[in-house]
Amino acid sequence: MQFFTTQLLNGLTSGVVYAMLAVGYSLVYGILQQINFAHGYVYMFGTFVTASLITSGCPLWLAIIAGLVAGAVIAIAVERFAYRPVRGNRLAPTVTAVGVGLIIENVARLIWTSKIRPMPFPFQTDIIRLGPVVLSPLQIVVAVVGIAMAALLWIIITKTDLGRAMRAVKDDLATAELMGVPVDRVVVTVYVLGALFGVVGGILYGAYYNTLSVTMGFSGTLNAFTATVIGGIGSVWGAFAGGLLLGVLQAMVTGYVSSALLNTVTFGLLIAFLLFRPTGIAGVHVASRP
Amino acid sequence: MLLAFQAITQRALAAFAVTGLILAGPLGGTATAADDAIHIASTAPLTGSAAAYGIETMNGVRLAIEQINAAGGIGGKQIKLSEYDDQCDPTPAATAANQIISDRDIVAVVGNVCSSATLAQIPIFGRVGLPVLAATTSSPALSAKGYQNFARIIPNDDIQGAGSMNLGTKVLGYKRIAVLYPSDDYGQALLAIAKNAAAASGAEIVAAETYVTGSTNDFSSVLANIAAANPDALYLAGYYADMGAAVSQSVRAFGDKHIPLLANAQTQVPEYVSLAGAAAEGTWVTNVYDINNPSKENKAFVAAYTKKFNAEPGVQAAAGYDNIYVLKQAIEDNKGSTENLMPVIRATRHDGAMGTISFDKNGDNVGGSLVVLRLTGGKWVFDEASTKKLTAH
Amino acid sequence: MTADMNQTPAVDEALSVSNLTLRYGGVTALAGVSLVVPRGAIVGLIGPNGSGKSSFINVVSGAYRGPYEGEVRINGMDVRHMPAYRRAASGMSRIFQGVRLFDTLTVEQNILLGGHIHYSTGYVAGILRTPPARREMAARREQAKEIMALFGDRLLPRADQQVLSLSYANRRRVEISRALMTSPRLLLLDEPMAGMNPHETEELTDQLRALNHAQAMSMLLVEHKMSVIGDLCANVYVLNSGTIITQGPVGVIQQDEKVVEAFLG
Ligand SMILES: Nc1ncnc2c1ncn2[C@@H]1O[C@H](COP(=O)(O)OP(=O)(O)OP(=O)(O)O)[C@@H](O)[C@H]1O
Ligand SMILES: [Mg+2]
Repeated sequence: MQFFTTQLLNGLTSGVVYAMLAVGYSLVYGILQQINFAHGYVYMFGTFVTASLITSGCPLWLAIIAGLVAGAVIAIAVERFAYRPVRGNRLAPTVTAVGVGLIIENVARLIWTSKIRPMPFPFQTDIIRLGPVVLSPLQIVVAVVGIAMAALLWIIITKTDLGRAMRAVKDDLATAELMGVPVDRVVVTVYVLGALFGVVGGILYGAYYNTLSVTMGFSGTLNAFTATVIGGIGSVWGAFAGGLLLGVLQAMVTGYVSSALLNTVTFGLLIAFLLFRPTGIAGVHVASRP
Repeated sequence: MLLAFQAITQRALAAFAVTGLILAGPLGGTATAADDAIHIASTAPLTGSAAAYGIETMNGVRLAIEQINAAGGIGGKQIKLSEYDDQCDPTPAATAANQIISDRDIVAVVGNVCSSATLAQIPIFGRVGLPVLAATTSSPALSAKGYQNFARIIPNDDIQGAGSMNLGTKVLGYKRIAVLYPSDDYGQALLAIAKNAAAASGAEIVAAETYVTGSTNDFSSVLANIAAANPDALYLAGYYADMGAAVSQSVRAFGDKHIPLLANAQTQVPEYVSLAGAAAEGTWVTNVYDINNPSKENKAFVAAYTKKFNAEPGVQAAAGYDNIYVLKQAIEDNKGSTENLMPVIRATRHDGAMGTISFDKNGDNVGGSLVVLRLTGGKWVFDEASTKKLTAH
Repeated sequence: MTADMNQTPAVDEALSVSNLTLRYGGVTALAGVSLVVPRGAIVGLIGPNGSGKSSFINVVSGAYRGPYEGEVRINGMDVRHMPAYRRAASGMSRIFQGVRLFDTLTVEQNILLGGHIHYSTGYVAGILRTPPARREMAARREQAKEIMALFGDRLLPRADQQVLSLSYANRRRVEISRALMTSPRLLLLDEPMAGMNPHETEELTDQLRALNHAQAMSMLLVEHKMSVIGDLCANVYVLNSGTIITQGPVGVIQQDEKVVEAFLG
C-alpha cells in the first residue's frame, strides 16, 4: 500500500508536468487542426532562460518571469514567421515547424552548450513524511501549480471574451473574422498561452527532476505528445486527463511490471491510440469539423 | 582557368609527395641491423580526433625509454623507438602495421590507444609473430579473439566494470546490491558484468532498474522500486549525466536513509557532482589510474612526467609509461633475449604507476591495478586502504 | 478610430460601390456593378439565382479575399486593404445566405461574440478579471439581453441553449442578433427570410423596419420574397448575370420588361 501510494504520487507528479506540456499541443490543434511541432523547442528555450538565470543568482520570481517572457516572445516569432505564412496548408506548417525548432535548438546549444545541467530550486532535497510515505515539498508545489493552471485555463476558456473568441475561431475561423474577431491576434495569443503553459511545465520539470538538456525540446516531447493523443488531441481537458493517466500508468508499469518496458508501453499507447482511437479518451471528433 | 588548374595540380603533387614520404618509412630514425639496440615500434593516433590521447600515451612511452636508456638501457642495450601514426582508424592502422612488419629489427609493438585500429593490426603482426603490448585499448573483443601475440596494460572494460561491484561486495561488504543501468548495449553489458561479479562474491542483485539515456529524466519511479528492495548499496552503472540526475532525485525515494553509491570511472567528472548535488557525497568510484595514487612508483612517475612535459599526466601517459617498463622487465626475465617474448610478457608481474600489472592467458591485465576514489567534500579523494584491499582480492 | 472618422467624407453614404468587377477564374460573377446605400436607407438587391448577389455581399464584407476591380466604400472608407474584422469594427456587419453560427457556443455566447471587437479591456485584464473587465462583461451581457429582447421571447428563454438545438428561424434570429451586437451602421442581409414561414417572415420584416427606424441603421437586403422587398425598400437594384440591369422604386421595376424577362428567362 505504501509502495502503491508512492508510485501513485510519482505518477501524478510527472502527469501534471506532462499535462502542462501537452496543453500547448492541444490548444493549437484544437483551434487550427495543426500539430505544433515547434512547441517542445519553445518551452525548452524558456525553461533554459529561467534555469540559467537561477544559476547566475537572479531572484527566483524574476527568473521565472523572464523564462515565461522568453517563451512568449519566441512563440510570437514562430507563429509570425513559420506558421502564419502557411496557415491553412496541411503539410507546410509541419516542415516550417521542424525547421524553426532546429534553429531554436541550435541557438540554445550555442548559448548553453549541449551539456546536461541541473536547475537549482528551493525544496529540492527536502522531504515530508506522511506516515510511511515520503513526499517532496516540490510534489506539493507541482500539484498546486497544476491545479492553479487548470483553473486559469478554465477561466480563460469559459469566462473570458478571449476564450469565447478562441472557441469561435475553432468552430468557424472565417465567420469569426467577419464578426470582428481579429483572428491573427487570437491565434498568436493561443500560441503564447501554449508556450506559457509549456514553460511552466518545463520549469516544474527542471525543478523536480533537477536536470535539463537542450534536447528536451525533442525527447521531452514524446511523453507530452502521447499524453495529448491519449487525452484526445484538441481537447485541453483531455490533455490534462491524458497527462495524469500517462504519468500514473508509467509509474505503475515501472513499479509492478518492469522499467525495461516503459518506452514500449509509452510508444505502444501512442500508436494504439493513433490507430484505434485517434479521438482519445475525450472522444472529440475534431476531424469531422469543417 | 589554366592558372587555377596548375595551382591545383601543384598542390596535389605536393600532397602526394608528402604522403609518399610518410609512407616511405618511420618518422623516427632509421633502424639498421648493425647497431646493437632493441628496436621497438609504437602505433598510436598522432593526428586526427584521438590525437590528444595518442600524443599523451607517446609522451609516457618516450619518458620511460629516456629514463631506461639514461640508466644504461636493458642489459646494456639501448632502446630505439620508431613512431607510427594509426589515426585511430583501421585503414591507416593496417598500413602502419604492414610497414612495421617489413622492418625485421623490430621486436615488439607498444602504445596502442584505439581498439578498432588495434583489431585491424593484430592479425598483421601475428603473421610474423610480433608481440603487441597495447596501452589503453580497452575493448573486451580484443582479448576474446584469443590472439597469441596480444597483451595490454589497461584492464579491459569488463574488468573495469566489475571493479565497482567488487569494491562494494568484497571490500565494503555489501550483500544486497541494486543496479541502475541504461537500456542500451553498454548498460546491458554492465548489468551482466554486475550479475557475474555479484554471483562470484556471494552477493545478491536485489533490484535491476533501467532507463533510456538521454530521454529519461524522471527517476522517481525506478528509485521507488530500488528503495522498496531495501538494498545495502546502489551501483550506478550508467552515464554521468543520468547518474547525476538519478542521485539528485534519490533523496526523495530513500528519505533520510543513507544509501551507499558505487559508480564507474566515467562518473568521476565534475558534472556528476554538480548535477547530483549534496546527495552525491560519499560516492565510491573505481578507476584505472589516479594521479594522487600515493604509491612510490606513481609518485616517481608523476614527478618525472610533470618535470619533462610541464603537464599533469593522465591515464594515457601512465599506461604508455608502464607499457615500456613491463616490456623491459619481460626482456630481463627472458635473460636479455628478445626471442619468443609474448609468453614471458604474459608471465610478467610489475608494480607500475597505475598499480600492479599482471596478465591472464588472453593477455588482459588482471593484476587489479584499479584505484578507489571517494567523493569527499565535493572532491574525488584517493582512498588508499580500499585500493590496497581491492588489489589484494 | 478618430483617424477613420476624419476620413469620412461629407457625402453620407453607408455603402457606395462603383464599377465592381469580380472574376472567379474564367467566370465573371460581377461586371461593373455600381450601387449606393444612403445613410439610413434600406436598399434592395434582387436577381435570379446565380446572378451575383451573394458574391457582391462577400466582396463588400471581406468574406471574399481575392482581387477585384472597382471601388468599395463602407461608411466612406475604401476597404480594399481592410481585413474583414476591421470592416466589422468600422460599423458593418452581415448575415449569411445559409445561417452560420458557432456550433459549440450557446445562444448568448454566439451573440456576445459580436461584441468582441468593441472590448476595451484587453485579454490580460479579462483573464485577471479586473473590476473594469467585469463591468464591461456585465455591460455586454446586458446589451445582448436587450438585443435578444427585440425578438420577444424567442431567444431570451433559450439564452443558455446550444445553438444546434434551435429551430431554423431561431438560429436566424441568433445570427441577426450577433450581427447587431457589433453595433453596425450598415447591415448586409443575404436572404434573411429564406426558410421562414409567412408569419415569421412578417414578424422579422417588422423587426427590421423597427431597427431601421430606431437606430437609423442602413441595410442592403438581398431577398427573393418580393413582398418583403416591397415592404422595406424604397430603392431596389436588379442584378442579372453580374450586371445591374435597372434600379428604382419597387413599383417601377416590377413593371420593367427587362426585369420580368430576367426572372422568367
Ligand atoms: N467561390 C466561387 N467560385 C467560383 N464561382 C463562384 C463562387 N461563388 C459563386 N460562384 C459563381 O458566381 C456566380 C454568382 O454566384 P452568387 O452566389 O453570387 O449568386 P447569387 O445571386 O447569390 O445566387 P443565389 O440566388 O442562388 O444565392 C454563380 O455563377 C456561381 O456559380
Ligand atoms: Mg446567393
